[in-house]
Amino acid sequence: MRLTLKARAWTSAAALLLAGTAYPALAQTYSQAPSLDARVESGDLPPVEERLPQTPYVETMIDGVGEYGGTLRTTILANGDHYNLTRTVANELLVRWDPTWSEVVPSLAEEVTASDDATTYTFKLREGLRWSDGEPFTVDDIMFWYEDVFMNEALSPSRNPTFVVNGEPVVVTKIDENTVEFKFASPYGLFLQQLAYGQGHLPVIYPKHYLSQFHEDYNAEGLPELIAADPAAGDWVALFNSKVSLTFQPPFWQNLELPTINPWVLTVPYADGERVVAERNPYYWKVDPEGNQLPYIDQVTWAKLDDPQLMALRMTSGDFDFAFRHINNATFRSVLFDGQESGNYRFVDVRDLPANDAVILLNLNIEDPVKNAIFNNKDFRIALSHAINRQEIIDLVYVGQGAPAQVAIQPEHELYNERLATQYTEFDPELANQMLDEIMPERDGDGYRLDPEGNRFTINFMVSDVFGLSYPDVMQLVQGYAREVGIDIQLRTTDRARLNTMWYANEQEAYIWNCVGGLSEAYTDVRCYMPFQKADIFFAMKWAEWYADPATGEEPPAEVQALMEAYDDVNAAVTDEDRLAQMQEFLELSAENFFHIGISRPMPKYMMTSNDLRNVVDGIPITGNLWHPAPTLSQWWFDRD
Amino acid sequence: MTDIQHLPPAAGVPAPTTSPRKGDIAVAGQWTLFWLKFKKHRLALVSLFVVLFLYLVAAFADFIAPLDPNATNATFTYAPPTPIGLFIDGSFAPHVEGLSMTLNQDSMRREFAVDPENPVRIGLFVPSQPYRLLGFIPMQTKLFGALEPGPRSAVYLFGADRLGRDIFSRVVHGAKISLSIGLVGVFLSLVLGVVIGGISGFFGGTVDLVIQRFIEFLRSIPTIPLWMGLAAAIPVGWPPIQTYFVITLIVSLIGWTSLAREVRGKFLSLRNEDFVVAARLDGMSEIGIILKHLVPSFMSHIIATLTLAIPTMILAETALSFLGIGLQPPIISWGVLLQEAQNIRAVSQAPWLLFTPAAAIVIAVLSLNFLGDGLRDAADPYESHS
Amino acid sequence: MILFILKRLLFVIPTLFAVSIVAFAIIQLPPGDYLTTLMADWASQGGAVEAGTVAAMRERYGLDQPIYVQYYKWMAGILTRGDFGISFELGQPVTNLIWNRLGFSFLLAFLTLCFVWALAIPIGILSAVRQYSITDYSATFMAFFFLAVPDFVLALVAMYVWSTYFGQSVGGLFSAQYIDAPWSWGKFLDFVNHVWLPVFVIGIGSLAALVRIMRANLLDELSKPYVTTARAKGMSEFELLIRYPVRLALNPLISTLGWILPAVISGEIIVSVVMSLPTTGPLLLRALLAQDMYLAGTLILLISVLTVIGTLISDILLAIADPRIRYQ
Repeated sequence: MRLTLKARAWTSAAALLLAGTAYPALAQTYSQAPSLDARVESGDLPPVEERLPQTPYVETMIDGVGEYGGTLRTTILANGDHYNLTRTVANELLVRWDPTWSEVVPSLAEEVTASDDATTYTFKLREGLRWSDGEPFTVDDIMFWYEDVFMNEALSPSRNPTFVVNGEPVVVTKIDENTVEFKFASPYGLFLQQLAYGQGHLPVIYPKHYLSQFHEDYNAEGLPELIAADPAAGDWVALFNSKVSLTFQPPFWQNLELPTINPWVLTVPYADGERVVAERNPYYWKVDPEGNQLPYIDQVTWAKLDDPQLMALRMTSGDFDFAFRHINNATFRSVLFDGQESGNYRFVDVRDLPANDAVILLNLNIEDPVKNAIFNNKDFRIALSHAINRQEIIDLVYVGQGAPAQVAIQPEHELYNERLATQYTEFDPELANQMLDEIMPERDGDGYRLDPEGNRFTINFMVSDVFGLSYPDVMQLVQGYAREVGIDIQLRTTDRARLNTMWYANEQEAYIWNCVGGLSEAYTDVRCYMPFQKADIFFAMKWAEWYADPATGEEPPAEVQALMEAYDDVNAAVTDEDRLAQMQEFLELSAENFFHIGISRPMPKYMMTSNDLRNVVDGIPITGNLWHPAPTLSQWWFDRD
Repeated sequence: MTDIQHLPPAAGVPAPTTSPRKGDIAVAGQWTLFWLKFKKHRLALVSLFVVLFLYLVAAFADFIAPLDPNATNATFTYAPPTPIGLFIDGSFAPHVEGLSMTLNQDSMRREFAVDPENPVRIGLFVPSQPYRLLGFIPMQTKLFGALEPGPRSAVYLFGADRLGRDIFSRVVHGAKISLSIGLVGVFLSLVLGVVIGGISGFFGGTVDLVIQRFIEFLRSIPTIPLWMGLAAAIPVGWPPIQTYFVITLIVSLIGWTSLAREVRGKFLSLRNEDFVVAARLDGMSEIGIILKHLVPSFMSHIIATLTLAIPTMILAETALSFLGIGLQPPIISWGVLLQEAQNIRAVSQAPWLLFTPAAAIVIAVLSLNFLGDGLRDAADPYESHS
Repeated sequence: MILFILKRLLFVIPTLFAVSIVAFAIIQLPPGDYLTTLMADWASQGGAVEAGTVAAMRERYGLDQPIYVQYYKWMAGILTRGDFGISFELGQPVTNLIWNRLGFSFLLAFLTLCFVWALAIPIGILSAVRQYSITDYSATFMAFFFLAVPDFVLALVAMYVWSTYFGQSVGGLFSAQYIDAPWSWGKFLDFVNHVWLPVFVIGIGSLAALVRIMRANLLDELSKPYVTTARAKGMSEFELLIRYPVRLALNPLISTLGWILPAVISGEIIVSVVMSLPTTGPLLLRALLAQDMYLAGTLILLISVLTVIGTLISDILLAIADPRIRYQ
């Protein structure tokens, strides 16, 4: 089967959704924002028809066609929150997920063709795409990324795993001016999904005409002077990385010269000021169904604040039109609820639905042999799971928002596996005590159980207060439940970076975190369902290392190896049906292994948008690698009437 | 309030205006004299009782607090304070008003209304779960509590926090840590400050120079980065109380410097005073002069500094908690309570979370300061003010 | 006198050297380095971390070298080129990032100092002259009350009240429309409208200390014979007060100037975070958390140097005021 994704060729639901995507009848006449009129008249800008590609991306409107104008006022934390800029305005990719996160659709590419064996992907770009400085965006820019960045040892000491299968990096070939081919050494059925997530930005953020001057292979003689002029750069690699940084690190947001393909371009950089500002990109390549060039909103401003408390306070006093990160958790809800009138905003559901909001991860590869044996005893994990009163945690900490569950796909998704979601979730301390009596019958004077060597069995639990999910509170309750069944849990609060150090050194005994993989990202990101070398989730690092490279790490037991083989089958699947079946099998095996103890299935979170804003997706999905709402922000507009 | 400060005396501590009767004075011992002078200072006297009261509360926290400070109650998260009423229908029946709760799903909070039908009867010396008072006396009685304890009849004099924990019990238990652990640090800075400052000031010259430069060096390191660095360097495996103890030591090791400077200044100005010169001319040894004449001459300073430094330790602890490097749960201090209340939600919808621990700190700091002033004046042989 | 100053200047050098070592050591205390933070950040965006990239960056930043080599390079850069290194996180030279914020820190410290003195001196005089009166009691009580309230609590409550009940914009030093605007009368008024709240919150805590110093010093002076003499000669109470005792009582206060300035600057760190002020505080706190070592190290170093210079000034002032100290 040859799979082709075309703007026109959608079936069923997608066709309805993207009805406007077919070449519009009125495509010959386009309109632009009134704020650009003067610049066109003065000759500063070419007319809108020349700025748009021949077949612009026709955005599907959520509510309907809007009006131009206005400033979107929002906020970020002053430090370490540049990712929020990315998530608001910088997520333009070759292919993208539709706003409901059900299908991958072409975006910068007009047409995508996958080969039958899922090894070769051909992208046909829209003709006449332009960078924000007016220069053409072509296959050469993608080739520049591939040949001079991705394959350049100095710029990319190791390859981004999105473009690597079985240790073999992708081979990218230019077919013609508008067509490019990505070829992998072995089947990679998940490639388009991967490319539609945030990390798929790599091939399309490197404007060759601008960046080649900073590249050794293009401007060897001019570079010394440029390096000397830049106080922060010691060599050309540092210089290059300071002009366009990997994964949208701060230098990306500091360089006003860097051309992009985003709806707004920076005018006040993310540097040391108190705010960041972006103005509309006159060369943006999307239009609404009536041929009006997007975005509708003229300008986006981010106030840089140091404390989420102040964010909430200023939201309620009407200083922002839109906010979600840092203040969209249960803690702030009631304050923000009371401030709706004074702040002129409303709540919009956000389907930020991981596999679980609070997961107890015991280190199954812990060095201590006594603890290792006990943690690896599945009955111990089951007993601990039964000891926890999940409903009480949910009522107390999450104000009733949640449901007792293990780490699992959300019930609304086709991959939902009831056993995975609900096994061992009943609160049954008696059963837990019974099971633990089999494993550690002896107790000390305080009622705590003794390990086989006669010492009190203590788990040192690392707790980091992240995501606004009140983990210290959750763990305090868990500590109490564990005490009831004779298990001594000691809590150690720490910060995320410190925990990170411990993970990589395999030093943590146990910790609490949230688990990704609640919806479609489960296909590409299985780190919570099996030992998988990625990030944040470290319950069996040695096995994950072995999976990545059998020469390293520790060989896992047979049942875990079987699980890993099952995932290899998912990755190699070519058709959607086959992939679904393989994935279901994989999840069943994962349920059998029962690696960690989930507490609460998350409920939708929320964001605040001004009462005047239109075309906001209610129930917008967001995850770590799904960088929403950026892809739909260009159609937001202010209805001031 | 991140720096340790040693403050000169406050107003409100009247210097003795009339001398005690001559006859008594002539035969009075040093401490009698001290007490006679001290009790003239009314505010200091009141403060003394407040401080004693606070320390009693801290010592008998387990008895006074009606509930386990870490016991959660899902029904009463963010429950408001309930005042004590004495009469029901004209008859004596101490009680707090019952609360009825409804969960508002939109605003995601529990809303409370007074339920006049169901007052919670309370009484003195009610039975409780067994516990050990002062760590060794087995007890099964609490000072007060609900007569019929149950999850729905909780007594929240100062309201409840986000997990339905009793703020009154938490404040009472917080006193244990806040009032006690700082004493160690205070004591350390006191010893170091007096010894090193005294040496510096008395000997002068090169010794003084070296010590002063060392103090200058220590003082010039900003405290917050130092605390954060040291706190982060403490192994994570350490138990919370041990961790905090180490941080207290660190705070005190920096804190002695200002005291040392003061003592030095005192020495510098005193060592050429007539009585010291006289002693020296008498052939008294330097050490003798220090011990016999100089140390007693600012004994007052030492005592006062002890009391005055405790409040700064309390405040330093709150700053540490704010930075997330203070105490770790389940240990409670006033700083921890304040840090937990440091959010818009508490300020706007549950101000009792903020005001109760803040009031405890203010009362403790004020009374310790006034007490310190009173002690200083009482011990000061010269009735000097600085 | 000049000899004394020269001698003191000479002794500043080893102190500064020791301070620079400690500034560098503090940021090395926590385990891990900036790349740990970067990896954690990447992870939160769904990005995997490739060991090769991290290793290459560690080498690029020189983080793989021994600490003393890193220290030597840092110091060499500062001393020979005025180069304080780069901020890893922001990818910019540290010097680009800090001066603006240091400027605001100084401005804030200066305004705070003015505010506290303007309040403390009259209150101190009043308390001393009307000793044990209601005024004395209440002034002292208020000063102590504000000493006892932790500044971060005061900051949040003040912002909440000011925003909710008075509808004023809070946080930062400027309203949105003036942030990037050039200075103008409107911007100045906007600044004044914003700056008084942080000045109040930062300053009010140290009020108690200054009132007490002022009061105690003045009481000492007032009990001296020359005052009695002057009074006996029929000098008016006010003239008598201002002429000598107040001036003399101010002397020790001035000598604390050197201490107070740096204390205010490092003391505002927490308040600045709560109130989002564009000062060094939030930058330093973040740099410490992210282990952005050159940025954190430079800020610590500058605050320390400031304190050393402050002490120097304080000592010199003291020596001028009290010759006994000079000729010890």
